[in-house]
Amino acid sequence: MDTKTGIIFDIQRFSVHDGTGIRTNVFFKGCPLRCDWCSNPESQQLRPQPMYDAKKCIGCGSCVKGCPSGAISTENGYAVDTETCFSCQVHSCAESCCTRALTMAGRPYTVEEILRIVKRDAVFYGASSGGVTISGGEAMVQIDFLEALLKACREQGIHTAIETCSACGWDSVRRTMPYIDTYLCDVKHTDPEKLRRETGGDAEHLLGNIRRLAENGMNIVARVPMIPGFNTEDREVEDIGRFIADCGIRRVDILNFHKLGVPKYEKCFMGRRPRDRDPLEPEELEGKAAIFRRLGLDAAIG
Amino acid sequence: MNERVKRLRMKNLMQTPEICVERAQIVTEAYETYRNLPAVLLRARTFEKLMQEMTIWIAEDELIVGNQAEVAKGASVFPEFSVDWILRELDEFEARTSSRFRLTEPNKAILRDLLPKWEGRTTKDRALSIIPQEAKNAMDCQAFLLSPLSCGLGHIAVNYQKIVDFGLEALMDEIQERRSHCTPLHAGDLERKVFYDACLIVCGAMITFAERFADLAERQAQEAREERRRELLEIARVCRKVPRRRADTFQEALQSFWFLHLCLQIDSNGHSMSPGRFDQYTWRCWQNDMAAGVSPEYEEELLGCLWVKFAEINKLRDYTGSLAFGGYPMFQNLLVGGQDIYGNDATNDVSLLCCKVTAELKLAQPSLSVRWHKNSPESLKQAAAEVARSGIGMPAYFNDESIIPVLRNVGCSLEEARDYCEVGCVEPHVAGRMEGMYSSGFTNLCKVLEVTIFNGEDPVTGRKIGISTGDRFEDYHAFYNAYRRQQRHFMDLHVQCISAVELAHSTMCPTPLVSCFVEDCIERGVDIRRGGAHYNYTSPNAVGLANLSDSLLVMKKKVFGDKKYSFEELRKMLRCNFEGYEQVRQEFLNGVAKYGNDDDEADEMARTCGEDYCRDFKRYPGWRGSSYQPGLQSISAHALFVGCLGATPDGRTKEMLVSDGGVSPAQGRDVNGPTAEMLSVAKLNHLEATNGALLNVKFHPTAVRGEQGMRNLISLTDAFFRLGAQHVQYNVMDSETLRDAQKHPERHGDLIVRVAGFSVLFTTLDVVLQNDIIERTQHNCC
Repeated sequence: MDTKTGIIFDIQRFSVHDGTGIRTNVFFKGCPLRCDWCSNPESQQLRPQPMYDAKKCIGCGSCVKGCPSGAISTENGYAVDTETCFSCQVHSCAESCCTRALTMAGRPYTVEEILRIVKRDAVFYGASSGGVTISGGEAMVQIDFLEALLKACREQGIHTAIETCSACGWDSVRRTMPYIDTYLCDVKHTDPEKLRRETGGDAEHLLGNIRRLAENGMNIVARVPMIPGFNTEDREVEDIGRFIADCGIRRVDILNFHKLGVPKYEKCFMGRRPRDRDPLEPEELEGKAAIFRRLGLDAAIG
Repeated sequence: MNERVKRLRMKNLMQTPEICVERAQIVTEAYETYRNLPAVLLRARTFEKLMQEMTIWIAEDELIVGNQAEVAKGASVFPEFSVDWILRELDEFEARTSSRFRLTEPNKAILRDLLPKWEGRTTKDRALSIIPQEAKNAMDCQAFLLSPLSCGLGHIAVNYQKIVDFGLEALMDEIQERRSHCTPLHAGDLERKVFYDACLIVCGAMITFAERFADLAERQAQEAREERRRELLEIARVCRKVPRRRADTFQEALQSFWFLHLCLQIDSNGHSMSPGRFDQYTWRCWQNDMAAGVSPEYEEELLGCLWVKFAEINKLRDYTGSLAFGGYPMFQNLLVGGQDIYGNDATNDVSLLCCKVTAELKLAQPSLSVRWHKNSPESLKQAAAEVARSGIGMPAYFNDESIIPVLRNVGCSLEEARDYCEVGCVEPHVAGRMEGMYSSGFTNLCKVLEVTIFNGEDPVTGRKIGISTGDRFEDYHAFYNAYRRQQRHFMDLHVQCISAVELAHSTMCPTPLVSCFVEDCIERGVDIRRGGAHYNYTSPNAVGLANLSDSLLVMKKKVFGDKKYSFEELRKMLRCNFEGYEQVRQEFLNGVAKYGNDDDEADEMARTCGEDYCRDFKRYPGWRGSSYQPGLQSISAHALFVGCLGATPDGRTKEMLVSDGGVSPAQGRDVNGPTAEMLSVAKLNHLEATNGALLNVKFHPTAVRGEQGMRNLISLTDAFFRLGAQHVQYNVMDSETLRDAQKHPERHGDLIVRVAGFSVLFTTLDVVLQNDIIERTQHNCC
């Protein structure tokens, strides 16, 4: 794989909820998991992929003309044959769209290119103890590029955080250790069977890597997404809390279930439908936080 | 907030604005009686008559007293400035879409009878008689807006310190002294003597006014219950002492300040009468109280009472004005924090208390501003952030490190510059030393562009209002030169209009009251309207900078650059409002970088446009021997230009508003977040925008929630100011709430939003401005 460039699908400036201060989030494409509550479904595939926003489209047909593979059809509603599209990767369809209704999620970036954007907000990082947060997808999928990027950030004195589900081999995780200031580690469940069934991940990785990061003295914030029907039973929450506490991690963020990513499933032409449940009520969230707190954890909702 | 202040606040919010006629009646009588006097004496006697005869009242619970009109939030009529629109719109004030006013039938009849007597005799009539037809045509097409045409001039921060620290008797002694040096044989001295006489009359009249309140308080005390009786007697004592003499207690300081601040707004309806560095000139009296063992809670209560008084001040505007200045704004800019004249931090307990009271009361007035510098204490930063998070669009943040150099740049000494305050929205000012004529109007930059594209013609009306600058252009450079020529043409016209307004006011409505509190008027014996102030400026503003520069970049790229579209094609598309050319419009919108995204090319374009505007205006000499000091702020004038402007090359259709604020990006086009937006804004030349540069930033409440959110807000401001910007203000509000308020105004009677340099009640705004506020890019948490 090309280590000079990484596939990035978004760079968001002024991110204030993933790590301390004002940050720039760099979203890596590619994830080994397939959680049906994923709010960034466009991050799952490693390759760039088309996204279509019907609200913006004025029906000019430029994309159809601009597509060299004939993957776009508009006869029975707007549709893209994603298989054909993936094998093409020319992107002239999206380039010819005047309204940006059709875009390509993801494109290759070099380290320098990302750094140039990240460094623009340096004046804001300094004042707020902010920096860069690597997000995704699961960035460790592109470990070579990730390592290069992190190394460059470290050389520039930029504070680094990473949001990770750690769904990869320890070897990859280990390589990030010299360059990461804060790990924001997803803890979704503690039951290996349930993890495999609902996320497709391996508990050896998902939980084991967190334990090993902790053993290595890394600064870790655990993040627990509240997924109705998956991990919100008090017993399950308690098990998650106990695992976190056992690792010696103090701080845990509870992230409520939300459906902000739902429209993206259609925009990405994905056959699968996302989980359709209601978020937890504020009182319920408080109850979960109380469970964590009883285990001596410093729990925050947000 | 204690119970008393809570009651006063509720009463204020429930009060419907109403048109009051008493002032018009008294002024009409006075002009009849004193018609043979020189203008300055006529004005003084008129003011005196108002002070003696106007209805006064002290409401239940009040501790600070003094009313502007017959009822709270009542708007008086000022027939000396203009009457034509009042007569024309008499039946519409109650029905219009923005800033409604109740007007009772008897009062309507009174106005109908009284106002025609003024026709042809107002300052507006005088100004219009001098303004050339060409300029009137340009104004008809909204190439520029002459906002001060219909009212008094206002827009000043006077020397409040003087009345608090010395009182009127001391001032009158000073005036007497000056007057005694006038020799009757010297013609210039005679004029000065008349001016001094006028000053003595207005000072005496204010003392009479205060005495009337003392009498009233004593009368009311006779029938009041024990506790209220004591309060009323204290009010009476205070009103007999101030503003006659120096204030010693905090209550005396507030009352003395309030009498002056109020009287300025009974004398003239120019608005933007700004309290300035309130925490500095009341600080001595606060300390006295603390030494005497007065509780901080009582001081807070007093301040709460005063804040409600600020919210009672009102002004009647014509239909156009009600759109341009939506929601009854009065721009009473009250500023706290910042450096003292030696460069040390001057924040004190009053500064913090002003923030606290503002955040708790959530009233649209006063307009709280905070001065910020590298040594501002954390306590002030946090207190200010709490105000910002309360969602009322205040405070306005001002950067000492940028504004002090701006004032040095216009000729102020370092000490004066360090002592600056702000007038109205964002106009840098040295209180009691300056006449800035901040109400010099607004240039509609996009109209100038439009007229350039159509070779002097206004495509909306089909009228020729500009100069012919050609139909063909070699390249972008040639086009931009044509734009500059057109811009200067409209400036020529604008300048003539401003001078006409100043001429009318200086000859017909001198302001001895303001002159008493602005140096060097008394020293030189010259009224402020004739150039008596130490520093004289004239300050017009640019509207729509972002749309202008975005448009120019589109033309540079698509028309003159890759020549994808010809100049003729562009004209055709603009003329038909892009109908049938949606694809091209989208290309213009999305295919070329836009100002506000930290894109160097787009931002440099905006910088050039802003700079050239300011420099072009600075070439003119102004009335009063002033120099022109333009600014980049739109107040809400951008809402006004919507009907009279066609489509623009940036992809804006004619239905869309031009950008708000002044240096804010066009609505919804800054898609890279607030840090990118701020970096873009910081690239502008803030030193050239000597009349201020205004940025609105909107946040969703979740983005600034909690301890971390507070720190982020402070960091953001810190960093932005380190980049050299002048000003920023935050609207912390979620769109859902605003939409709900549109649907159910009754549920959101106290919802306050920032429009531009001022905050108003959302529900009193016209729907166009409401939508504009909702559409401004909201920076969410990511």
